[in-house]
Amino acid sequence: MITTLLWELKQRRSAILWWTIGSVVLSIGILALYPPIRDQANQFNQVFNQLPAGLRQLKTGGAERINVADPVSFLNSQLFYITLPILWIILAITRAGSLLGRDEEDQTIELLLARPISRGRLLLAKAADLVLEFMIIGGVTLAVISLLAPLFGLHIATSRLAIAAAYTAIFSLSFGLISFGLQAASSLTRRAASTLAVFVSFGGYLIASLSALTDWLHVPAKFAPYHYFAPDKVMLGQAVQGLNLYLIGTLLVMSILAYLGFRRRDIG
Amino acid sequence: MVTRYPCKVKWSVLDYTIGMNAVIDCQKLSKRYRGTDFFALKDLDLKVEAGEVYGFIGPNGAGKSTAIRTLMNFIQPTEGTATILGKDIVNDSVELKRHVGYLSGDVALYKKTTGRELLDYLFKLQGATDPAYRHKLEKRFHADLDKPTGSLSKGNRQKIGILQAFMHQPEVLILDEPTSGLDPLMQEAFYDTMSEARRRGAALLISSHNLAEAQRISDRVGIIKQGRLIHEQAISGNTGLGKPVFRLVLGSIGEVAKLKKAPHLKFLSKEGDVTVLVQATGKLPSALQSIAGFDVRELTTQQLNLEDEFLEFYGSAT
Repeated sequence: MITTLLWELKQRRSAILWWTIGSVVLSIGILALYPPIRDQANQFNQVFNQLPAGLRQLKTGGAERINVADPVSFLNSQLFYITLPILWIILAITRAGSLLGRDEEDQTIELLLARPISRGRLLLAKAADLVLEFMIIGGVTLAVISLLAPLFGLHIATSRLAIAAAYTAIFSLSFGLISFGLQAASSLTRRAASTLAVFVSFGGYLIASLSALTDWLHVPAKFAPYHYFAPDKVMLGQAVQGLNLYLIGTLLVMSILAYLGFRRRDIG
Repeated sequence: MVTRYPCKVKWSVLDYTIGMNAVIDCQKLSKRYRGTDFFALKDLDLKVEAGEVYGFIGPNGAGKSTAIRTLMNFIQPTEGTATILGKDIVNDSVELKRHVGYLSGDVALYKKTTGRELLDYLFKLQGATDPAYRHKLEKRFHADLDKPTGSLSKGNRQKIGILQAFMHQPEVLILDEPTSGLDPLMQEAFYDTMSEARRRGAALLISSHNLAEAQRISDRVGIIKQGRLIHEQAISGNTGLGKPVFRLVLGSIGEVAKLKKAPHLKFLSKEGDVTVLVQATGKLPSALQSIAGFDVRELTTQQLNLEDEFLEFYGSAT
């Protein structure tokens, strides 16, 4: 398993580097916006808080009001709720799609399965690679945010930032896991599995955000993972049971589905 | 030039003995793909013994690759069972792959990696420890291992495919179109490598639609048609293949009737009233002596080969 994991990481070294650079640059850019925004906080807050609830939620999730001068509110609305997740969800879904999907499409999977390696271990190695890539990209991004946030006047305990970054990474990763699990369990193509994962993530994001505008979206919104994603609560040390339940549930369901399905299905 | 016979050539009992424990042993192995009504592979009974080369022949779509991919547990059998080295191909798949070398019909490699990196990786995955034989093969095939495999020609990719199949000196080799894309020199290198494997007792199942090659390298061949193994043929020994066939134009119809009972000759077919095809059954001088007793107006010799055999089963459509 370690051999496969190291091989995957080696294959991906330049991609990991570029995704890390992308995440770090994006984060620094947003952190750097804080001082000028804080200095004009009243005007920004007025604009944000005058927006319809649904539109406001597109940016902040469940937060009732925005105070951009507040570091937690700023990081939630500008970085952790949507900006960083967009980047990381794209990474998770595309990467998860290629982990097995590309090997099956290119038929290189036969090279691997012709060796004494079980399908379960192969799956585990591929999933571990996805997690490790996220740990590297998320870890470096977190380190940079932690180092630079105080310089831009964003004074939040490093542990809170770490938890928020970790939740953001795991939440983004969950959509990759959905794509990966569906592909492993069935003969769904890379494109089909990725499309479903995009629907659950970004479709869910729209439904959850717009549910504040219309009553009929309240019920569907409860099935959208984004409904439970609240980085501001995480940074404030509040409980996020709904999010935890979604993450654990997704991990369990997709792992079992992937293992049982991939163990005996036809390859290629 | 291919010579076709209007007759049905039936071969005598195959001159091989199946041992108690065939290395590859398929029993009624069948595969029907989901969503289809027909079997891509039906009731395959096949045995390959240690030190034997079994040529699996048939045109594209006949079921060769399905059989091979089922044996490798890439696809699940719908019915039947199979064992390799006594281990079940489904339940013991991981364990038995320590002893199997596999080459797919269309060699797929990681395009961005070099051949050397890929072989290192697969060598480790295989759990192999002795690289000496691998290095010997690298030299034998003059493999270009330092370029990304995506930039290599079909022949050079095929070499890497062959290396990864043979490098751990497996007891069983399952090879789908192994010489595809190789130049004649490299084909010879492959035959040498294959012979080495056979000498150390490996069982080889080789699929091919190159009939001349199958005839050259196989101990036995199986012809597969529409997913069914329709004929098995031993190649070496006193079988029909390789024995001369005479096309005789005789002096009268009465001679034809007499010739059917002649010693050292096997009557194959009749063309018109006085033209017959016969095959020598024993030593050539005896057969010629037997022919000399007839009023022969014209004599030409031919040789039955696998291609004739194959065409007999497949007809002119092939």
